[in-house]
Parts: sequence; structure tokens; C-alpha cells
Amino acid sequence: MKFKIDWGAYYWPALAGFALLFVGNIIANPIFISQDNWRPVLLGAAPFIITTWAQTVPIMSGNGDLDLSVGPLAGLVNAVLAMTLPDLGITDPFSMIAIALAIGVVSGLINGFLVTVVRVQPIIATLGTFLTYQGLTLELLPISGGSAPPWMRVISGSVFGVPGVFFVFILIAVAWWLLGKTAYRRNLLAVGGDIRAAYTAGINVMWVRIMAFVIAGVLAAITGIVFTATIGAADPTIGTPYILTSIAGVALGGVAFSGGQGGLLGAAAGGALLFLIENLFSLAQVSIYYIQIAYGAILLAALALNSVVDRARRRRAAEALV
Amino acid sequence: MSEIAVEETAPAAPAVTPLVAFRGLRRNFGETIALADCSFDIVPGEIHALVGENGSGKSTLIKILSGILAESGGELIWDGKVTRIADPRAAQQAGIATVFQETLVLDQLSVRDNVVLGLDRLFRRVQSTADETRVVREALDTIGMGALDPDMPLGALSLAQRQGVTIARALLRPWRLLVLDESTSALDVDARDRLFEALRRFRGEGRSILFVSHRMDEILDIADRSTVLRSGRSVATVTRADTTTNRLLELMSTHEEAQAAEGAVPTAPQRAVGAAVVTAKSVEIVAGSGPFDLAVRAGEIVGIAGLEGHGQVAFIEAVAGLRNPAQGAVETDRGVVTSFLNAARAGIAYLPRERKTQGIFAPLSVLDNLTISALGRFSRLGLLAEARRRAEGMRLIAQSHVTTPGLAAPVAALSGGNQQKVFLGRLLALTPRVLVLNDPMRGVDLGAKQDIYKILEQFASAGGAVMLLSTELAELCLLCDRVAVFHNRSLFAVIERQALNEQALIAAMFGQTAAARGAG
Amino acid sequence: MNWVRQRLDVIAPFAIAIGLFLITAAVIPGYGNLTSIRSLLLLSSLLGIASAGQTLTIIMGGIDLSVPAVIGLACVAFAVAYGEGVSPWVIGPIVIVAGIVVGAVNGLISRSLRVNSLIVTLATATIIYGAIWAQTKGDNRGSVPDGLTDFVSVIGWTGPIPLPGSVILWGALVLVFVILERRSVLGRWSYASGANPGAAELARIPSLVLWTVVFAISGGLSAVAGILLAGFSSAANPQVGDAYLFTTLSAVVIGGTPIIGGRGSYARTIAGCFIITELTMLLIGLGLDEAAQQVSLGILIIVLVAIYGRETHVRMQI
Repeated sequence: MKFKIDWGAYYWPALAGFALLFVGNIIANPIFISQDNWRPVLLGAAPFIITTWAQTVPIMSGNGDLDLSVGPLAGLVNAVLAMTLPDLGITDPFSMIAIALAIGVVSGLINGFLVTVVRVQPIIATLGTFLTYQGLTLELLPISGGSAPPWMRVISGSVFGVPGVFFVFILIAVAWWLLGKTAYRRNLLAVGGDIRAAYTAGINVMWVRIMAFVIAGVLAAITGIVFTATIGAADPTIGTPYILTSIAGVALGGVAFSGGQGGLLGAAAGGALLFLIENLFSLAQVSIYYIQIAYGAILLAALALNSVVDRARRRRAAEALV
Repeated sequence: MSEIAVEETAPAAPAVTPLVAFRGLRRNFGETIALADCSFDIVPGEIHALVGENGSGKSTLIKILSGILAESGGELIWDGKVTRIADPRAAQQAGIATVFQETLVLDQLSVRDNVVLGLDRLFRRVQSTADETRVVREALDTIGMGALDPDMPLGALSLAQRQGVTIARALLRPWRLLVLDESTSALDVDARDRLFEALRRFRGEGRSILFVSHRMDEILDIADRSTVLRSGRSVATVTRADTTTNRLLELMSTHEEAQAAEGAVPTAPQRAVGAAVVTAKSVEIVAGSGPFDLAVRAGEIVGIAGLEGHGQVAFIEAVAGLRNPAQGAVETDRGVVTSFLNAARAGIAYLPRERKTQGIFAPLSVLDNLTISALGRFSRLGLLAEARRRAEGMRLIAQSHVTTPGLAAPVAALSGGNQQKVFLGRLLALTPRVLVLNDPMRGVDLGAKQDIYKILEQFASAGGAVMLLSTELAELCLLCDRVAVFHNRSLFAVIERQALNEQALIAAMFGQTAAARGAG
Repeated sequence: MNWVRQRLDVIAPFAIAIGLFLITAAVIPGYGNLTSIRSLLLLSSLLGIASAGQTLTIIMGGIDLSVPAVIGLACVAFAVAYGEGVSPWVIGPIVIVAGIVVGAVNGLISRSLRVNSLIVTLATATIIYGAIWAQTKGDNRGSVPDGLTDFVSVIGWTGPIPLPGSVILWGALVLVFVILERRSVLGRWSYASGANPGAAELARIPSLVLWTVVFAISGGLSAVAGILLAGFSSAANPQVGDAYLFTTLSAVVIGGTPIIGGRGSYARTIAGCFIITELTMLLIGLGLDEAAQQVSLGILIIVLVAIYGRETHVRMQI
């Protein structure tokens, strides 16, 4: 196996930004990298990173695909895990995880079905499921409440000195890496790059897109599990803010909104960036509202940077192609 | 048209079970009939040409055969069984591999990924990367592109290489019928010869090829039988022995059109040539490619030719202000061309190559498509003077010989040829001094070509200058006062009218000086 | 019959709007009376004014997700300033100009960077929301002039006409938009740009100007809607526009203007506005709580879009 570093890869600006802000956080607060701080940092960063991952996959499949329901779905899973299932007497880890993931799969199938079979524009379809999940969450859980089962301390606590949530990241990363070994990633990039080329070549474009939404749903469900473990209860408003950060994370991660390009490494850096910004702001005790303004401004800056880099690359390509 | 004999079975292939047979195949889109009645068959081990003007139903037939469209009626008999092909994957599994007219490739993926595209299942890969590389090399080698690095991103390839990739993609599927839908248009002569050689070899192995081309020389060269489609009907299948250009043209066109096609050869009337309108001064297309000068004068049609990737496209884009030359400048009497807008102000109107993605506005009306670039002329405070705009629309329709049900009809409802004439009409609405045309006759049917010839002749006669880039050499010989031939990203030779013939052009395109005159 | 079939996509939304009205009138007692018709017109007019810019933006090939944020900004700025004694004739124009500026920035950034306007407008919306909250700290004070309240009151009159000013304003806006779309350079450029963005530039359409102006129109009209909603809710409420993200998009798409651009019209969006308003009134009339309303509206809109707002299959794109 030859190992070559691809310096032209899409994720370098995101990683550079991540490194910069990481150092910034350490300077602002040296405790940031102390071992005791790992657990809360990783727990805090998890929803940013995992929802950004969830958003990345449909965006990679192009054709206007995106999933605005990832945040509310995570919230719905949170309500189900902390409220509904304990009420039904279901508290064992296997059933709970299985049910949470099943909700993610079903949601992905619904979104994917609406987008590919019914052919509703993705933004309308997932805004519709967004509203539906939000309403369902409010039905199950009008106000905060419920409680997380004890086993969830595996995620919120530490295992052999390593924060439990770290294993969640590793699990997702390994699953994505394994997926990259299959044909799916290439199929996804093809469908995202030009669906007509993919279709005429014989790729089952419908299922490639549906699977992208299923992966998004499963990742959103995992975010719901992490929510439950982190706050130890259920909060009906917890998921919604992550719609914006998931999309901003994708942009910061260097993943193109036109599809057919990108991956989870850049997306992880993009999502983590947003967390690090929030962390810096709360260290400086800036109001939560200014963080919103900063997110918006950073998203615009990331778009500008992407656009400049992309245009330079395209110009070089055009000059080569005489 | 009763005088046209329909030879249903070819003498060359008697009593063989056809590989595929079409029986009264039909397809309509709403009230538009794309394919009215198509019946013919392809036997194992034959190269079968499908000819017809644009809009005659060739593309529709190929889409049905490839599983993209379903037929509205009639039968498709594959290997002796009536079959409905559900989707492209089903077509491939049945053994039908299609190379579409459009080069459908993915810029972000590698050559290898592009060639093996679609062989895998949703998750399961059918072969290892090493095996993929091997079969990709083999397939590319068939058309003389074996040297292409399978790991190279497709975005870095030339148009000819991209088309090669789509052909290789079809070749490495286990096919029994290979469908080539005008998929040789961008290939250079060498690659095309290699491909034809391979096609003959495949025929020897008992495999069949359905071959669509607008180029008569290719059909005469390679086809065993040819089926002619006209207005969605299969009018005749002729064997190789009976195939001549005239016979095919006669079958393709209605009687009047056939006569017009023969009679309407422009005779290059004496036009008054005026002063230079556009001048390239010491232009270097890319750094180090060698500077050249070229002047285009009023009342002149100057052809631009070259093998794919030899700089001619970059040059006319520079004239249109779409790219800057590495050295030197394109000048008009109104200053140096530095941008698209300033070229436009200098009276240069550019017609891009891709009508579909860079040209027409499909859902908009014919009137909108004609006048969209010149709306300022018909407006006051941003509001349109419709009466004046419609009058100009009518004038442009007449000037561009557009056949349309009306000004309000969506341009998408027109045939490809008429769309192209509307597109050209849009440029004429700007009353330009220079027309810069990037392959305007590409994929246009014969009737429309004749009309475009007339438009260009009229434009030049009225004192306009035309720069005509074309890949069809016969056309350049027919229309141009002189042809600038590009080789190795620089102007290689300018061939004047009296020395203009296809042999001279080909020689110059390959960089041979014998038949060509030295460049300025 | 042929005439009907060819125009099915235009007729269907209006037929559904009428059918839905009749069904609701049959199901909910007292729905068919004059008051509920007036409130239907009033609520539709608010949605209609907020959707006008969205329609043109979508036709042009963009999308404006900052509509609810600009509505919230306008509502808060207007009510707070009026509450502090600023004349409505001063703060009104200022707020509308602010909306226009936000829109212009949206268009300018989207076009000059060539990035999806969905993301750009999402970013500006976030900035605006953050700014509103940072300023008000969630404290919803402010008040509105009585004239404005009457303008958006169900029982309001406009001179001799028994309809509130908001409905009349909407009617005028419809006229302006029909002319804008069909008979103006801007309108024709918008359709062309949405139909084939790659060709627009080569056809000498000044895209940057076009995008800036069209988004500015959307921003300005969102601000107008925000002022009207301030009158409707009689207070500074930054969340007053939140529902308008989904409803403006749905009104456009249900009306039959596809999200990919180049087709459709504001006339169709009118039908979309009636349908959405009727659905909301029906759900409230059936006594559903807010959570159930959300779920039902989400599902119903997807169903409606599925009936005739579907995208083309990849087969037809080859």
C-alpha cells in the first residue's frame, strides 16, 4: 500500500482552521487540554460534529439533497429515549439503541422515499418532516423532563480513563471507513457529480440517494443518544439549533453544496470548528446571541474562502484544457 | 413517398434470427410524436447504421433500447423475445451497451472510476482496484488511449479523451449490441480509425453494433446495412452495396429538401472585403506556444480548424473576451479585447458550442429567446414595448429562417435545428459586426444547415465579419474565404479559398506543410 | 378538454383552493360566513406579501431563507421605535430600506461568490436573529399605531370597501408583479437566468445586478410583511416570522412554481397562499393543538406538493 498525502484535497482549509482555533482555545484557557477537560469538550463537540456528518452525506449525493430534519430528529430520539421508553419500561441498552437507530433508519427511508420516489424537492420534503418531528416531540414531551437510564453513563462518563463518547466517534469513523471500501462511496460521488452519468452507467441512483438519507437519519439518531446521555433528560428544544450548525459545518468543512465531492474528515473539522468558536465565546462570557452572529459571519467567510479556492482551481483547469 | 423501396431483409444476412427487432415501435410525449412507426432488425455480427435528420426519432429509439424511455406502443424483440427494458441497468444486463451523444462523465472522479462506473452494486464491488485498472487499460487501448493514466482525474482530460472514456465504459461491459450515438464526433482521426478497426473485429466475433452518425463518410466506410428514419418512421433499410450518400440523403429528406440540399451549395459570391475588424497581434494562447497574427476583415468568412485540443477553441474564446491570451492581444478598432463585456461593446457576438447548457432558455418563448440579449432596445424605464419587440421578433424569424408555430411557443418545442437558428437570431438581434461561432452546425440537421449557411452568407455580404470554427471540413471548404488551421496550440497555416480542400486542411491539421501555405 | 389538460398545472392549485374552502365550510360550522372569508383574505394577504419576493427569487434560480428573519427584524424595529415615540412615517421607510439592504447583500454575495443562495440567506438570517436577540435580550416591548392595527384587522375597512388595507395592498402588489414578470426587462431576465444560468451570462444578462435587485425586492417586501405583522400582533415579536420560512416556500411550490427556477409565476403563488391559509384555519378549526397542527401541516404540504409539484425524473433529463 502506498500512502500519499494529497495536498490539493478539499479538507485542508478546514483542518487548518481547526488547528488555529484549537490553539486559540488553549491560549484562552490552558485548562482546555487538561485531561479532566477532555470529557466535557468531546461531549460538547459531539452534537456539532455528528449532525454535520449527518448533513454531509445527503449533500454529497447532490441534486439539491439536504436534510433539514437532522436536528429535530435528534430531538425526537432524545424525547423517545428519556421519556417514552422509560414510561414503557424499556431501559436496557440493546433495546434502546436498537429503537433509536430504527427511528433514524425509518426517518431516512421516509425522507429518501419522498425525495426520490415521490420526487418532492428535498428542501420542502425535509422541512415537512422537520415540522412533523418537532410536533411529535412536543406531543411526547410538552416540557423538559424524563431521565436517562444509568447505562448511558458509559457514553457520558469515562471508560478506562477514556471518555465514552470518544468511542462513539471511533465507531462512526470506522463505519465510514468501511463504507469507503465498498462501492457505495464511489456510487454516492457519481450520483452527486452528475446523476445522468450515474443513471445511464447503470447505477441504482434511487437507492444511492435513499441510503444517503438513511445514513443521515442514523447519525441524527446517534446524536439523540448522545444528547440523552449528556443532559440525562429530555428537552424538546434541544435539536433544532443544530440544523444551522450542521449546514454551516458542511460549508466550513469544504464540502461542495453542488454535491459529488467531500467526506467526513472535512465535515468533522467543520463541525468541530463551530464548537471551538462557541467555546471561545463562552470563555469570554459573550452572550449566546453574539455567537449566532458569529456563526453567520463565519459561514459567509467560509463560503467566500471556498469560492476563491474553487475559482482558482477552475481557472487552472480551464487553462490546462485548451 | 411510395417510390422508395423498403428492403426488409438484407441479402447479406438471410434467415438469421435477429439479435434485436423493432416492430412498429412508437413513443409520444403528450401530443408530440417522437417515434411514429419504427420497424427494422439487427442481426448478429453486423454493423448497422441508423441515419436521419435531427428530430427524426433516432435519439428516442436509442433511449428506448437503452432503458431510459419506455415505448408507447409496438414491440421490441430482443433475442427472440418481446422485451420491455426497464432501466439502463436492465439494458446492460441484457447485453446492450450504449455510448450517448452527450459525454456523460464525472470530473471529480478518476479515469478508472469513470470507466468502471455502474459495474458495481449499491455496496458490493465486483472486482478489485488492480483488476479494474487492468480492464480499464485494455478498454482504453482499443481506441488507442491505453497510455491514459487510470488514476488521473477526469477534469484534466480533453473532450476527445472524455469521449474515449465513455466509449471504454461501454466496451468493458459484456455486450452483444453496442450502440454508438454520434459518439465519434469529438474523437480525432487516429482514435476513430482505431475504434473502427475494433468494431470490425467485434463484428467478426458475431457481435453487433448500432451506429448513429451524421457523417456520410463514416457510414459508407463501416456500415453493413443502414436504416433511415424520417419523421419518426423507418422508411428503408439499405444494404452496403446499395448505399451511396445521395441515396441516403434522398431517403432522409422529403423530395423538395433533397433537391434543395443538392442545389443550394453556396457558390462563394464575390463579396466586397473591407478593412480588418478584428486583429490578433502576436497572440500566444498558452505561454511558449508561439505567437501569431491573424486579421479578420469585414465581409469575410474565416474558418477556424484544428484537431481537438490544438488551441483553436481557446483562440476564438480569446476573441470573444472569455479568456485572456498568455501573450499579445486581440484588437478591434474600438480597443483591445479584455473581457466578454468589452468584446460585446466592440460588436463581437459569440455563439458557444453547447446549445443546451450555454445557449437556449428552454422554457422561454421563441420571442424571449430571440430578444433576451437586446431587451434594452425595446424598453423604457425597464418596461417592455411589446409591439416593437414582437415586430423585431418577426423580423428575426424571417432573417434566421426559423420555422415555429409562433412567437409565443416555448423554444423547447422546436427541433434542434430551429433552436440553433433562434440562437443565431439572438446574436443577429444585437446587430454585431463580428460573429464568432463555435461549431454552429454541430448536431444540426441538413435543412437547418442550409439555412445557417444562407444566414452567414447574407451577414458577410452585408459587410459583417464571421469567424467560423467547425469540425466538419466539407463545411469549411464550402463556406469560407480562407481557413486558419491550428496545430500545437498555435496558428499553423492559413489556407486561401483557391487552395482550399479537405486534403489540404487535414494535412495542415496534422502539421504537414507540403499542402499548406506558411502562416503569417 | 384539451385547454384544461394543457393548463392543469395552473388550474389545479386554484381548484384545490376552492375545494378546500368548500370542504372546510362543510366541516366547520360558521366557516362560510363573511367574517371567516375576511380573515381568510387577510391572512392570505400577509402570506402573499411575504411570498412575492420569494416567488421572483425562485423563478430567478435563487431561494431566500432570510424572509422570516427580515420579518422579525422589521417587526421588532418598527414596534420598539414606535414605542419610544418615533413617527411611523419615519421608522416605516427606514425599516423597509433596511430590508432592501439585507436583500441586496444576499443577492450580491450569492452571485459574486457563485454560491448557493440557500446557504448565504441562511447565514444572513442567523446574523439578523442574533442581532435582534442581542439588542432586545428577549424583552418584547414596543407598541404599534392604531392605524396599522386597523390596516391588518379582520373587520377593517379601506374607504368604502369592507376589506382591511392589507388585502387591498396585496391586490395592488399582484398587479405590479404580473406586469413586472411579463412586461419588464427585470422579469424576462429573471426567467432566463433561472431557466439556464450557464447561458444567462453569455446572453449578456447582467447577473450581478439582477440578483442584487431581485433579492432586494424580496428583502423589502419581507420588511413590509414584518411591519404588517407588528400591527397584527401589536407588539415587538422577533419570532413572528418563523412560520413564514416553510409557508412562503410551500405557497410558491404548491402554487406550481418549481424550485429549480425559470418557470411559474406569482399568480400561481396566490393560489398557494390561499391553500396554506385554508389548511391552517381548518386545522385550528378542528381544535388541534399547536403540536398536532405542526405535524398535520408538515404532512399535508408534502402531500400537496407530491400531487403536482414533483421534480422531473432523471430519465427526462437525458
